[in-house]
Amino acid sequence: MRWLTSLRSVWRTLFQSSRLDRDLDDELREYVSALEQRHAAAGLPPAEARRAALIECEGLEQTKERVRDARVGAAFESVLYDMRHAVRGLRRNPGFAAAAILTLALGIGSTVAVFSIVRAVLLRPLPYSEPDRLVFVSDQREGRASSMSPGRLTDLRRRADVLAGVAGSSEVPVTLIGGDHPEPLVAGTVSTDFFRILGVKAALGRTFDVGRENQRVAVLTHGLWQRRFGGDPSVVGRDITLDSGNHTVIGVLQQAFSWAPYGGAGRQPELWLPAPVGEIPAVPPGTPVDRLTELRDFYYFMSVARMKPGLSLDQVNAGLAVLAGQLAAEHPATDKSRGLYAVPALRQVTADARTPLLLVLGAVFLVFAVACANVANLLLGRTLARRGEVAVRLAIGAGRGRLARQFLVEALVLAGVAAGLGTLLAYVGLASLVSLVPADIPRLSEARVDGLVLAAAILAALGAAATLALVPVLELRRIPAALHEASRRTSGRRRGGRTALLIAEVAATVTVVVGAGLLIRSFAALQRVDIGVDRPEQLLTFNLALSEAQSATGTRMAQFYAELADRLRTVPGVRAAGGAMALPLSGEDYNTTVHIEGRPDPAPGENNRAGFQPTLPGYFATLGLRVVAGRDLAASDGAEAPRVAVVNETFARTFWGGQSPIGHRLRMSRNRSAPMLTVVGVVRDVRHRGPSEPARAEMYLPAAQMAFPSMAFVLRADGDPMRLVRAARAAVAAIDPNQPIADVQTFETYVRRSMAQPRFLAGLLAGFGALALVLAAVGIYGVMSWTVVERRREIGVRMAAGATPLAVAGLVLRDGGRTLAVGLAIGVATAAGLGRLVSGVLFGVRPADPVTYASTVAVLALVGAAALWLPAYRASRVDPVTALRD
Amino acid sequence: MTKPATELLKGTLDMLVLRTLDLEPRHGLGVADRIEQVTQGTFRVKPGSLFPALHRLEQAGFIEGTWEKSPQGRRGKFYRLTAAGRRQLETERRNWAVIAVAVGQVLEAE
Repeated sequence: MRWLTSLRSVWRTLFQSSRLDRDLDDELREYVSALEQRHAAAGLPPAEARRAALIECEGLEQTKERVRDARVGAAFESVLYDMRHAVRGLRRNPGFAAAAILTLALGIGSTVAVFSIVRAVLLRPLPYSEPDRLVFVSDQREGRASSMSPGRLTDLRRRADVLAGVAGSSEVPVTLIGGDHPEPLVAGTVSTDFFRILGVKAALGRTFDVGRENQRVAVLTHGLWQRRFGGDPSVVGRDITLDSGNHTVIGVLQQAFSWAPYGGAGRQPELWLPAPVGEIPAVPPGTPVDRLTELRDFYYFMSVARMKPGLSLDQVNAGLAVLAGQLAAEHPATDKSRGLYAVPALRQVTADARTPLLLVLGAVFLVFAVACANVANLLLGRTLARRGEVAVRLAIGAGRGRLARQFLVEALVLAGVAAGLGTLLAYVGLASLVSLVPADIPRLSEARVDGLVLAAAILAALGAAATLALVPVLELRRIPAALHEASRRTSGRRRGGRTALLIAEVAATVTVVVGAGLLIRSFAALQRVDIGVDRPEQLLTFNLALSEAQSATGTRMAQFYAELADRLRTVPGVRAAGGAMALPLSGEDYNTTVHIEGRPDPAPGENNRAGFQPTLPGYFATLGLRVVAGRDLAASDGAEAPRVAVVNETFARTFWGGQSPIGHRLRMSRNRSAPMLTVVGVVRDVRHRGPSEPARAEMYLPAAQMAFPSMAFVLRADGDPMRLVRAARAAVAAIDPNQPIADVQTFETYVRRSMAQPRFLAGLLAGFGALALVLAAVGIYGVMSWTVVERRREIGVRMAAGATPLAVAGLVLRDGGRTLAVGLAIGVATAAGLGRLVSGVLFGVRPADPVTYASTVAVLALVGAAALWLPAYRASRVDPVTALRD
Repeated sequence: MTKPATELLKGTLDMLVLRTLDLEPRHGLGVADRIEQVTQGTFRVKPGSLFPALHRLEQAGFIEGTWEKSPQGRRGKFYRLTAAGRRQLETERRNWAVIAVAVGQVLEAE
């Protein structure tokens, strides 16, 4: 078999090359001496005979080279040789090797780490079957899909023929009773076809039977199963006790399952219950009975659907638009201005994380580019030092292609080692990096160095190698083949490659530093925002989700809250106590339409929405919100008392302009038989959604009149709020020992958590900016030092001609300064061009913020000047005598 | 003597070497001598072309080289045709015949 023979030959070529070479030597020697003998026999003297023989052979060395090239596997062998040569070269210059490898490894490692995160969060398909066919259906075109009303969801399920199944999902707080302590959990309440539409199978047992909505069953998540039931398989079939009663566990989900329709905000459900999404929607318990009929005004179901096979997203959207038109015509009051849009599931989950992550990826990539440019300059310096060697090799016949290949192999070896080291660093450091990132990015914990990430690392290494090899190869063309040509040309063109790299470095650094500056200013602006709360460092907060016993009736709930508030106020050290359904900055958003008495119903599309909160008396006082008109809510606003509400300033301004709203009445529904509320007070604004969003119109209702089974309590302490924790728990336990409280933390901690992401981004970008600055400084310093060394002769000449040391130093400074200036200009232009992309994550700062740009330019100019100082000094110290002599 | 355009004859040279070794095993110089002799001096193969050809054929498995003492007492590498080499020679002979006819047709055509 010929291929076997060829294989054997390749083997011999690669691993027995020295023996092959020796044999060839022997063979040729024999040939020459045989010829010699012949000539001698023909009568020539020995010396002549030998000469004649050699002439006939026409160059033994070249013959050997040709034989070697003809060998099978020759090309491969020479690459191996190049690699060994490259490694030897690196070992001979350990300082250079260490600097180059370390710089590259840091660049590659950080890029790989960030890319792992991007892969896990943004790129990896969701853990459902055929996830690219899943969409969320939303009422609004832009942004993330929002919740839908039960009535609309029902219509969607029945009539959207472009969708092969629509499921509704919502969350409900529940309490898991049993074991040592009751535990508040978030349960997902979903239509029975939810798991089927997602294509998710249970790991143990089964998921819901489609259509049987009234069963008291539950499906556990893997996490809950492990944590609370010790991973015991026999839990399937057993009953668990929730505050709403017993539920039979019918299955456990796989570990990989996750559900994050709001991105990372909010807690993931740990338990799944079937919701009767049919005629009667599953409304949160405690919702006033008359609202059950408002199927179209109350929005809380996320609808997730599977597109019909064979349809594209555009086709589905077209079909949905038709349905939306029909619904608008059938329900003009509620549905007139609402469309139906299909949002791909992955986009929904990743929407919030996309811009910040891509920003970080862009920044780290720029840092990587700067690192590459630095190492390329290092390598180039080394190449120029080896100019002599290269010229010699060219002279004795090495092809330029061969040398170029050698440079490429050197660069590949360097980049390869660095990539290996960098990937290792990333692998090891990924866990720590992930732990620093704020937790509300979905799927963050799944970040790992997997196949795709490794492929990206290899690509990065190849890219780095190509960059590294490029400049020496280009320089190669300029090296003269004739050795005697001295390098008299020392300026301008010859250093073009290095200067270009340096300019690129400076530009990239400017971009990263501008980005960091913008984010830092943005974060600072966020921190300065006055949320509206007075002296937040004195506040303690906790959440309460009432158990079944306590939330059986509205009265019972009201009693519980009132009693708890009273007890809390008697605790020594508590100056004030109060509660509301959701604290400011919680992001929880309950809103409703507002219909003011005496005014016509608002036209659809007209903004008439406001947030609402069941509130306990004392809430405003505790937070320090001043009541600017009318009165506060009081204990006398009980369930039997006239229905009242306190509104905030924005609400008053939105609906009544400059006039006082006190005494006016309004309804929270278009249904004219819904109860009227009288506005009795106006309170100062507090920011609800977050420091970056202005206060919205908000209505505060007495909790006794709109009972809700969960409440967030806030206490103002005389000193350190954490000292009140035990007393708070005791107060709750005194009323009901089985009632758990959750999320006990100071208000400051709570605020800080809500700003975790901007803080993290600013910090990370600042780190990258600092890294880029250091690299750029090193790069400038290195290149300028080399330039001074190269131009020694020229400097010597100038000094001999009368230039002062100062003038020479000025020369270097001017030269470097020019490069710096060009780099700065390009960098500023690039950053300005990219500014639009990051405006989404900025707050209180324009992308073209002049302060940021000015300070960036100043910092870089300073750093550049510092880097230039030493080379300039060295230039001024050149001794013209020795310089000219060399 | 005209030096043949060796590049053109690289494939043909292989065939000539195979044919030469078909008659009897030889060492490198012997092959060159034989070819020169038979072609009456038209082809003088220099080591720069001969040795690459010999090694190429050896790596492809068409010839086998062994170190032996020649009748003159010299130590040299003797090459011998293998069975695969014999088959390859036949193939190349046939190809050459076809090429020769074709070239002749072109040259003779009106």
